[in-house]
Amino acid sequence: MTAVQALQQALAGEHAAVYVFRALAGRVSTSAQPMLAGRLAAAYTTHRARRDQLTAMVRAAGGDPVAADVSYELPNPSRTATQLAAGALVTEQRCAEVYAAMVATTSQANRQWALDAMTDAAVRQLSFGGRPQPWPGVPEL
Amino acid sequence: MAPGQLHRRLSGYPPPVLSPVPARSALTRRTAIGGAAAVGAVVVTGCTPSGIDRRPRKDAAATPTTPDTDPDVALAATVLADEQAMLDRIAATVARHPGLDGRLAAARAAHQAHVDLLTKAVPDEARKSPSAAPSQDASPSVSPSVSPAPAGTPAVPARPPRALAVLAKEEDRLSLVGRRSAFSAQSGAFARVLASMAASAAQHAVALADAAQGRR
Repeated sequence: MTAVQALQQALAGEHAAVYVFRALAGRVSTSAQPMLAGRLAAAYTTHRARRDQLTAMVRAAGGDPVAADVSYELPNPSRTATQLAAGALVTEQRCAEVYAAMVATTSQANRQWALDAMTDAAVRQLSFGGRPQPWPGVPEL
Repeated sequence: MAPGQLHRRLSGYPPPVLSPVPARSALTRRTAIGGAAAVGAVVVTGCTPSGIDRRPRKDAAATPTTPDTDPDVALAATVLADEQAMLDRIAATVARHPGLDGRLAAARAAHQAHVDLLTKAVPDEARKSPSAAPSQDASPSVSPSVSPAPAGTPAVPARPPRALAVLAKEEDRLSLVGRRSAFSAQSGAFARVLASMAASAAQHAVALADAAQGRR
């Protein structure tokens, strides 16, 4: 896999995460669930920034950044606070898997970026009801 | 909204055809740690190291891979010693504060899993810290001066919240060291496993810090 391909795969995953967190953040009641609303908004801001960074990284590597799909399927109906948190959790878990794959397929500065993003995604899972895991981002272990 | 798009976009990376990461169905604990495990197998069975999954490096092709020179084996030995030290700290904390046993069960299970995987990857002669190795693995060459309680084991604070806070700080340090190890690993597959260990330690650092402050 080339450096550009590794970055493009992470960018494609980040496009999906941005879509999902924008949808989840838009569905939460800020008055009824202020803490969850704040966490979803923070996740959306973080993933949007990562998407922009990855877009720049693809360009820097000489690639044409992959575009987002028009829409993505949400992980669940995302109506109750419990469903919103669960949807956020599974999205962060999948992001950790994407970044783990990026760690394996990159080196130097790009790998460092993936390591930091993976750690953040793993820690962010705790704010959406996740528990510490022995092998975050590596589901087959 | 197209069904399956999120799953397709957010899982299954990378495609097995293009990636140096082994296909998920074929990924075992041994292959997951790539070069280091393969080198361990070389020591045991005398197999040639052909087919070892590792990132392309200019110097890698020129230098024959042996247990003495493979940097990933040395890396695995270092991380193994760090993970075992963390396990020892948790055990010492539970010994001092039996009431924390349940709260530390998840962290202990995670680090035990890390130690178990790394133990398979590191040949005995490459171990960094004999005093930290499990007693059943101790070879006759281990110095008799090694005591049951290694000198490096720090004192556990008397108050449970403080003891949890100290563990949280150590998990944080372990995560940082783990990310550095993942950064420098030659094998991409091994880097991925090290990154997961570091991410796990980061999760435990936050969970234990929260517990120390009574938030969990």
